[in-house]
Amino acid sequence: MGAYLVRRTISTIVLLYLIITVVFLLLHLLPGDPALAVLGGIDANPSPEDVAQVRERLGLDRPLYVQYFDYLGNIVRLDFGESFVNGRSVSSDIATRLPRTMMIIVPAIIVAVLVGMPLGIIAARYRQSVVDPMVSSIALLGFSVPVFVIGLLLVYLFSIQLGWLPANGYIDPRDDFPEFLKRATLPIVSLSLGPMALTMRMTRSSMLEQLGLDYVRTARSKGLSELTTLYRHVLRNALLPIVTIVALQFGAMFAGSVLVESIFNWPGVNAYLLTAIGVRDYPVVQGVVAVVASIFVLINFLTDISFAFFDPRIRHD
Amino acid sequence: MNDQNTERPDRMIDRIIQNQSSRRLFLRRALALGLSAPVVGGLLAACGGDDDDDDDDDSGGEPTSADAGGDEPTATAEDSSGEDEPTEAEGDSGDEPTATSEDSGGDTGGGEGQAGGTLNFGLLRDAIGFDPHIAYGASSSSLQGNVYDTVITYDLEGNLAGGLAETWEVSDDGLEYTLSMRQGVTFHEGQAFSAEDVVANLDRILDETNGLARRTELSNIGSYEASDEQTLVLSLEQPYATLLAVLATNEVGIASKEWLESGVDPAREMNGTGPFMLDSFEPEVRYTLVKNPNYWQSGLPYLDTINETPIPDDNARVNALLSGEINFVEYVPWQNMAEIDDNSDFQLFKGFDLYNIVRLNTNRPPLDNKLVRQALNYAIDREAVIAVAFGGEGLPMTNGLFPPGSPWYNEELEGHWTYDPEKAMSLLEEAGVDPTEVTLDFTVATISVHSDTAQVVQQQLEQLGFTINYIQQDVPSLTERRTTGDYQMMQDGLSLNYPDPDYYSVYFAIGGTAHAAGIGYENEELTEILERGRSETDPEVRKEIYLEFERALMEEAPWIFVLHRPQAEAMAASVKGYTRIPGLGLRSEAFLENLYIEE
Repeated sequence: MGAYLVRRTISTIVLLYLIITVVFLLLHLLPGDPALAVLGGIDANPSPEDVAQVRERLGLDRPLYVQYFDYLGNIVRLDFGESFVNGRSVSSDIATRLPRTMMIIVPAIIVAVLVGMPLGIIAARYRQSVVDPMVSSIALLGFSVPVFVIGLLLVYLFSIQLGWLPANGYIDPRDDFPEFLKRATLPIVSLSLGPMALTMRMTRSSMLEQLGLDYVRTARSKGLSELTTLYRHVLRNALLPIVTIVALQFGAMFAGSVLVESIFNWPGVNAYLLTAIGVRDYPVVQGVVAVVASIFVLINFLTDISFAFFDPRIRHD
Repeated sequence: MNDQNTERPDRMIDRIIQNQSSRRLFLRRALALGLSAPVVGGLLAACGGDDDDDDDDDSGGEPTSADAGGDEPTATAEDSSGEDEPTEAEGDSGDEPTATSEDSGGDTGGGEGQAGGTLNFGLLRDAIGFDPHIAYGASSSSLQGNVYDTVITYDLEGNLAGGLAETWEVSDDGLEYTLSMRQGVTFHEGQAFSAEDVVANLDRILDETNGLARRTELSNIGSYEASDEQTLVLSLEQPYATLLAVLATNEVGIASKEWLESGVDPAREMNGTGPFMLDSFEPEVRYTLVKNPNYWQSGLPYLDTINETPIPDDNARVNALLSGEINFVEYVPWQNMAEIDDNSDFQLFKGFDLYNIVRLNTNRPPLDNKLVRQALNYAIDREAVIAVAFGGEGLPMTNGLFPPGSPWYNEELEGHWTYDPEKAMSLLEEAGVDPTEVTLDFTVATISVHSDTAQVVQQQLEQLGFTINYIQQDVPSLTERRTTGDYQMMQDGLSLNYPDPDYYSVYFAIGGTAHAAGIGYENEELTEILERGRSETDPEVRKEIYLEFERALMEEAPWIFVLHRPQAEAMAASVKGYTRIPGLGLRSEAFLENLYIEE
């Protein structure tokens, strides 16, 4: 177990280093001069002297390797520098914005599991009846309709037609918690539908796979009730792939929340990233990617470790 | 627009231009056709009012707007801006549609505004910063322009008017401007305003190391001084007709000298003399402005609070308005204009202050031949582009740069560019160019207001036989290529940073950083005409000069002139007092002191 942990830790660190380096290189290879964005973007018509002055101020006139080592050194100290555009500290902006993204992603995952798993169990249990195809096709719909379509439909129905919930915007939960909940509802629901459908399908197929195994027949033949068989034995054994898929979904949720944050004007870390890419704000892009990638890698790491903990066979891979 | 609208408004405008019949007739027809008032308003604002001289007979008792270009050397502004009555009852051009409108959309005429209320304002993008001397884009004029005052400003008809300067005088030779500042004005943090403050702001802008927005323009001022607390004297080495218009831009807001010198960061704090004060903000979430109780225009502003929320997503912004989350929104996508306009709960104010053109790199064959560039202009069916790319909401650029409604609009050039593929072919033949053997690189940004236009243009050039290599770029990549001249043809959308045609110097004069410098375009004739226009102070003569400029420009055809793009703000029906000021377009948002909420 110890050797396995060390191996996984080292590979995680190498992975993070590669991500950070690739992001740096990609950004600097990408056409588009941040100095022009700073000077007004698409409305800009600066003189070459203005551009040179801004490049110097931003340190972009230095050789690339100097910028790279500077960047690495700062990242180790968790200092992502200051935004080219507004001069604010990237680290503190991420610290403000990451929790806001988490405020919709984490509840969305919870909702997805709380609704998706029972639906999957029901579908598996009533496989022979009309319940399974019904639940399965709803899930298919939830899985295949893009998140922004769902989001816009929800806004149209609940905000514009019914007027029950605000169309978009964010309020700090410390300022006004009920209002925060109202505003978070639609983003959470839109974000949860995809993972919910996936969780349901995964639960269903994993359960069905287990249901065909010998131990189930044994359990049934020794007289255990169907419910006990299902929950105490089948579900437990079916859980591993479900946990994997939920953990992976967490990463996918970051991608999904780019659109959700945009549609619901939710000032999270992804909206921040999106704006920054559009103006080539290197420190912001690098900082956000480094942090989000670390979270993703960390979750995978923890998932792997937990498998090793639960299933001894994995340790000896 | 309603379906039963059988005549397109832009055609109506064309017709009216040809036959200066009257705007009232237009209004009657438009209303009969079922166009709702704000649309008519937008159109009239676009075509009316400032059509200068020809139009005066029609505009009743309004103060003449013939000088809307704003070069009247003598001070005429003292009354129009110093008055206590903010309602523009005398204004004809700007708010005529509202005065006549049946559903009273946007009605400002007549009565007093009601004090109190909150405006929840949906911005296209984040404010980025607050510096009164940096250009953050038109979107931030709602912040900068309402917290900071400028020395010169505009009245609601688009004429230059006194701002912090109550009156001004220009010497006969156009070389000395004497501005007399208002007294009793205080900054939000309590400092008293004087001419010294203006000097300090000019110092800051003109300091090269600060890299601020209007330095190039303002460096036309040879020297300046506060001759006493109240008087500012600007001395020029040669006449510069655009000076007052430059002083009226949002990027020349006046901050307190004492405050600037105290080491504050003006990008993160604000201290102006404007109608609203910055109360609190959270970047990219909310900017809250509150009423300045000591504003120098007594009785103004009406609103207690303005909350500005950046909502970059087009759908989200419109949805926030439709759901009542906000009651004012800028940059209404054209797809939503008709829907909002038809809904009696909302009002739409539309204008055509932006335009789409295709930049041609005059140093890359075959575009180095002006016959080829002219041919491309004849190859474009502008009506078709407008129909496809903007659902019919646009005006064709058939006459050059200045749209109907601009004080610089030249009626006699109307119809210069027509859709005439045969003429295009014969020009190409004359130039010795066979389009079937030519591939043109066409660089286009990945934003739909550009790419939709570009795709139709591409199709039309292909019909002529050209092969088009369509190159998609995101905005920063495009901006870099534009600055370095790395393109053959480039789709772009432009607007004037301030409503004076001298602004075209940054495009077409030799070394102009917005166009000419990038591709190394050096045209001495255009440069010379622009220089003449800049140093001429008589508005009538200037108008002649810019007619000459447009003629020469169209002969040269450095761009494909495509269309004037619709741009609109929308608001709840209860929001009153907004005027789209002719020439300013979206920058009319800098005048929120006139807005009020009708209960």
